[in-house]
Amino acid sequence: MSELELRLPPDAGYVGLARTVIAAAAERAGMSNERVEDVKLAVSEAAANAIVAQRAARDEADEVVLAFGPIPGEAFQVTVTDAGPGFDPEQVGAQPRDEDGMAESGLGLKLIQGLADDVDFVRAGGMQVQMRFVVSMHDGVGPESLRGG
Amino acid sequence: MELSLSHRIEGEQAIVELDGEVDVYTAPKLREQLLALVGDGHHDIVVDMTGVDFLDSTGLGVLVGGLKRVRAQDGDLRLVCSQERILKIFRITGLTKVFTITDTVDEALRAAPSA
Repeated sequence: MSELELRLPPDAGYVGLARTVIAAAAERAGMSNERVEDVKLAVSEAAANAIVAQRAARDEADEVVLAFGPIPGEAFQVTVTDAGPGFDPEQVGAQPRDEDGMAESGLGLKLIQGLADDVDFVRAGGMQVQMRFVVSMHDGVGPESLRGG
Repeated sequence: MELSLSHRIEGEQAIVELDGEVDVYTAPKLREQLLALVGDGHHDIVVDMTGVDFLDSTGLGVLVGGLKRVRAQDGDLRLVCSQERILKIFRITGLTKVFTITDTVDEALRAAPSA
């Protein structure tokens, strides 16, 4: 898989730029406008989480790494890696909610899981969290267009 | 990727107009605006999201926070949005059950609970 990498200083101001780059790559990979919007939001959520975690860990020298590219014949993949303390997705999902369901936080994960077709949370080396979005493309675009992309 | 805000007061109601992207970086600006309006005694707020190109969970959180604040004063916060891709975000997070969302500012103004 041909993969590109974007390294971001842990600064929320860069999330918008990351969205633009990822959206362009997803478009080139043949995704429909609607699916590109899904990728943009899911990646934006993951990048924002990563940046916040990295800042909390005061590891501001390290960058948040976004690796992305098409998986020929299958999908578009994005991995977001940070050097923060990591989290347990099960725990985040189990956050107590207000009676009215008015959660002010923890919605990002719900969006990621709702928008991506496949999400894996990986803790590597005890300090890294990897989120990979395999976004399938059923946009009337055949796998041929993904090869040699 | 910026967010511009403007607001106007119509009688007892405040209308906040958003233009651009509401994300982790720009959402604090919206939070400040809502806090300021509530602080000034405006408890019926309409947020016009017609010009919003992007909305993330930070933005959702700010809107929920604003809603909670005005409700604590017996007020309400309603949204104007007819873009499917933004409405989808409210649906996925279950927030369509929480917010009153209308197609136009007029409808939102008329939907005030105490009216």
